[in-house]
Amino acid sequence: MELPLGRCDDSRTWDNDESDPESETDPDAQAKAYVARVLSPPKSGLAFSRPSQLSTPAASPSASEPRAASKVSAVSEPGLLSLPPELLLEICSYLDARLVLHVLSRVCHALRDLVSDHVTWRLRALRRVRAPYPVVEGWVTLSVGLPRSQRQLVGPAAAGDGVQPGSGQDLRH
Amino acid sequence: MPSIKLQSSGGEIFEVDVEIVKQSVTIKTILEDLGMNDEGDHDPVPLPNVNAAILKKVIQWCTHHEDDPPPPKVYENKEKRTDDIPVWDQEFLKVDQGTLFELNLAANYLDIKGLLDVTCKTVANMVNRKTPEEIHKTFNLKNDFTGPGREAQVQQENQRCEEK
Repeated sequence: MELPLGRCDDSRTWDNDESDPESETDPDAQAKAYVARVLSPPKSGLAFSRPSQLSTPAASPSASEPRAASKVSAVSEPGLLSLPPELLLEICSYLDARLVLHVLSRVCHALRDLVSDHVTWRLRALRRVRAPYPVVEGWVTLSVGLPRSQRQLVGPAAAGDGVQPGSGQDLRH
Repeated sequence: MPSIKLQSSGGEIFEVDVEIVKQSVTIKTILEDLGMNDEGDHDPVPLPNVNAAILKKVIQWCTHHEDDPPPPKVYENKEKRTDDIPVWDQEFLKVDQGTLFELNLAANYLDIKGLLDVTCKTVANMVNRKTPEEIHKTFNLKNDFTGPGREAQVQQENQRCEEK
């Protein structure tokens, strides 16, 4: 009687062979087949692009490509936090500073770290004010208070810490 | 009108008018750098970060916005608003969250300012006026803070385990 273990092994090799049935025995042949496969894409890519000169994208012929594409999108269904920081910050720039500060920071660690970064707030303040502001009481305070007190912040703090070199490059007073 | 071929991450080829596709600063720059003109049968421009479904949407958006005035180069000195998304765009962005984020990423990668703006605004509107709990629910996020509330919860769980 055959052991189930042996059968397991068999089924595993069958799985592997699905893509490449001929080269199961000889590792050399396998290697050759692999090299051939790796080297072939440029050619097959060209062959692929020829027929698809048809102007309608839907008419694209290869059956394997759409499948691959759908697989990718199914696997990597991106969530909010999969967005890179610069995009999350761009989104935050549309939100009220208080919401960003008091609400987003309580959502999860990732968002809290993002919005508690002082550079974030400095950029936000700079963009709102469009002038190289020195640090006053910290950029968070500055940004939150901005809509009302834009002008007040200029004067007294002018002798403050100053702005890091380069940050005022494209900002004209 | 001259056209150009774009190749999605899955290898699918899309043929699009050059003028439409030039709304993408990335593609515009590629075309300029390669000196691609109207003539000739060029190889498709590979866009390995954009899958076919998203590329299709992006092209759809660009086609609709072909005649839009170019976006202003300078940041406007005013509060950014999110209530000015054009109706067509609102309809266009009635998609599942995954697609919305992918469009956002694609707009960023392809450097299409208008599309980037409306996708960001749409996401911002999903966050606006919400509590942390509502944001968790909306985006299926987990609260990973171990505040007092969480600690109490863990204690309860531990107690239950010990009782068994």
